[in-house]
Amino acid sequence: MMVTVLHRPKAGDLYPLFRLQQDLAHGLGLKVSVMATWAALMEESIVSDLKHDSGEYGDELGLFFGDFACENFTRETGHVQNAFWLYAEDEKRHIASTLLERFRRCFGCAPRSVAGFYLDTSSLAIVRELCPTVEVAVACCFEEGVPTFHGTNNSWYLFNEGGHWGPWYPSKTHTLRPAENEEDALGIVAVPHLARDMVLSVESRGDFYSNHPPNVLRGKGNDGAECPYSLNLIDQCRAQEDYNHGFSYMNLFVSTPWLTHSMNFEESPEVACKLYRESLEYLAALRGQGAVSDMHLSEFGAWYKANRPIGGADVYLAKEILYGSGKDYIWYINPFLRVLIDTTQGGAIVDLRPYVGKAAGATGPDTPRLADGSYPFLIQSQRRTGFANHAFDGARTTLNVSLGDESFDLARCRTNCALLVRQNDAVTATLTPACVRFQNGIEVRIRTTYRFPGNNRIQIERAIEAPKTCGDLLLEEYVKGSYGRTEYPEDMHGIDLFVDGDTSATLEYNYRNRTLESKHAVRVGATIPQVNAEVSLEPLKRGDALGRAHEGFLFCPFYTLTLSRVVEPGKGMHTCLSVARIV
Amino acid sequence: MDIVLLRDKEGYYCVKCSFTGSAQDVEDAYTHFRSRFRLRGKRLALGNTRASLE
Repeated sequence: MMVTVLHRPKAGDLYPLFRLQQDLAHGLGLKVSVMATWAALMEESIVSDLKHDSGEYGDELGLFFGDFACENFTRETGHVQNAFWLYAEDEKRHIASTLLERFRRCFGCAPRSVAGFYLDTSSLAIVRELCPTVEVAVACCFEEGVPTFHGTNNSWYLFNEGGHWGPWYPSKTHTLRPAENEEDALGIVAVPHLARDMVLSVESRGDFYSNHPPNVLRGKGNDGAECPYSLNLIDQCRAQEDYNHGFSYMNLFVSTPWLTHSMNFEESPEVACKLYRESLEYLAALRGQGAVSDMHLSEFGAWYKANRPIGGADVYLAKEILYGSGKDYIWYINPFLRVLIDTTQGGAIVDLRPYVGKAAGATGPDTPRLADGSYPFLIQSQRRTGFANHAFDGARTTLNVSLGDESFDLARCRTNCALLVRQNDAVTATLTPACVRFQNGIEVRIRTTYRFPGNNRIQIERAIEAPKTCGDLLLEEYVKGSYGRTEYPEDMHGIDLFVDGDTSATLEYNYRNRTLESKHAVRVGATIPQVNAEVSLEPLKRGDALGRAHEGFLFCPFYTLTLSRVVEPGKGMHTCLSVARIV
Repeated sequence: MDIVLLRDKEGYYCVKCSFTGSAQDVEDAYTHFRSRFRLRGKRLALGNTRASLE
């Protein structure tokens, strides 16, 4: 695993804690990348210390785009907001120029790496234009958005859901969308801030559960003065080497306010510092074993450019390691889509982002999205109900299995990831069988396999094991979609539903609970112009599939696509879920 | 929702909800919250985070 340790100096009372962080890392011989803040660059003694550390220990000196809010910054620029990505483009340009000029004046050179909690597409483009030496950026806080906003009593305006958990090449139109090719790429390598818990980032708050020990104190995932969970998360990140041709990456980026008294947790500063030290010590020990390679941020960016081509895919197997639930989530990402499979819901797709639509991603008061930098979803089971709760179900996929009059929703079956195999950018995920027991005692075992060929398609195979005497089973592949970025429903007008088969038909979405249907279906789908994308479901073997596209209504504002067919015991069903760009 | 605890002579109160309680009440609530995390004190072997064949 490749690791970057980042430190961020703040001036004033917090500066001694930065020195403590530096001493710990240097003492362990770990490479450190310092992301200097404006306030630090205004203090001659701090600049002198940073120069010394750079000379003595080889620290990389980079620039942090945040933490501006101090008296001299406001005097210099007129700004008080810390969130760089939320300024108008002309203000971003002014702030970036000011910061970069100060950096050059302090160190006599331009930075090669920068960092921010979120650097939207215009932020990255401006930094790149004003400072072409910048090759790598800490550019997002994975999956921070609605849950964090709610958890902070709606006060933390950081919305960047729908991106990459690991390093990626940002595209020109949206930081979070991985570039398809050289022409589409912004020309920079991006990494997320921290390694998040890839289960609890979905179900809870990514800012509580990551490899940042004091964040875990806030989330109360510690056990007194011990926090084995932080180290377990580091190991989980390491384990991704198994599925990504030996590659995994994380950074450790804890700022000084988290190492002192905090209203966010009740533990003492000593405990926070101890846990931070233990993370560093563990990384140093892993390096000693040859299991970890520590790199400066720009060093990692150069390695990534040289070794990971633009347009590739990544996969992450997340095993839940704090509750002890036994849950697995499988993540897959490429430049066309990002998908999340919840094996505990029988292998349901619970998040789908159609990158093919190339949605615009700039934030700021001069943009249509204002503060919302998330990449839109088609399926998001946490924001759009998912498995039925109080009323109807929401955005998700599942398989409905019927025997006679009895029907069973596969989402009621807990499965796990049995095998995850990657060849180049193609990934195959095989789940443990789901066991469905009907009231007449007949047991049917359904093994689901997902294949991601590395493009805009997701192949879904349902292999059925059942007694020969059980009779014909009716299988229905079921996709219920929506679109949006937050938990509130969006206007579905403008969406068209369609079916192609013996008959072809289309329907303009108008909340009237209507259904299109075609025998011998070859495709059912929906076009969603709001995200420039079409989603469709097709049988991979031509035959007698019945296709349906169903409109929703205001209490259930979704579209539902189904393919169903009768299957003999021992046979199965193969379908393909695709997303495509519409103009 | 985050709780925002402030202290007065009676103990603690939240300005975002109606919670009031002593330091012990707050600690008990945190302990209860933590109880859901059954693995919080357990260091897992690396193999526990890997997919395994049946």
